[in-house]
Amino acid sequence: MRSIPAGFKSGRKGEGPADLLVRIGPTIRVDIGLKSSSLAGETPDLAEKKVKALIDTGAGGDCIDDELAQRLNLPITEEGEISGVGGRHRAFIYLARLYIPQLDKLLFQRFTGVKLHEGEQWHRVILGRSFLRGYRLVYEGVTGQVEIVESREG
Amino acid sequence: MASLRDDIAAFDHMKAELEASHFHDWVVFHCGEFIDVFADFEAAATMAVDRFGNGPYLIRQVGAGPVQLPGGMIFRPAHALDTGGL
Repeated sequence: MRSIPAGFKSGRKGEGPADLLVRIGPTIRVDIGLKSSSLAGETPDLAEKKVKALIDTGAGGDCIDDELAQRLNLPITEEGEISGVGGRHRAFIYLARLYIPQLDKLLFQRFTGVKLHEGEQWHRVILGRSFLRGYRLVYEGVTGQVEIVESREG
Repeated sequence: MASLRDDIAAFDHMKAELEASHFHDWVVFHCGEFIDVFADFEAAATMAVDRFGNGPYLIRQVGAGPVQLPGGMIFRPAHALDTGGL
């Protein structure tokens, strides 16, 4: 079964892996773009590589940074409104492919545009519970280790 | 984003008809016109990218509710807004 670590090995400035996991959250690197430039059956080759993605069990859907989506010229496929603790504002939904090399997982789906870079967030993608639907998430807060493992039932 | 708003307006015009005949199917609108209906999102998106490239185009699941985002936020598509649209 494939798996991917989403925790931290070591910290800086006195921060240990457990501290980093609290401060930053479970993180993986993903590739993202609209079309793969590789041939069918080959490893997907998407425009933006090693993008930091937050694994967020508090989110139902998946999100992408608005600036990144616009830079990649991702198609806008929906317009609506985000409401929450910050009030309400207009938002777009983009279409993209996302590839996770360690899991050999290629997604082709919608991502809600959110202002991660503008909000000085470290991540550029957020993957919520819909992504985790096919995986087992092992979270070790004491050691700062997190692992996403393929599920036999997934 | 006038084209997408044209697509949303076209969807709203056909909403009752679509909900009656294609509930939970995926539909694609482009330049204010209904293009086609699909059983799943990937088929709809593949067709949209192949035919219309970088868009914009509307890909919407008929009868779908809001999407929950991080931090307690939710995304409501334009057709679900209390204000009656855009």
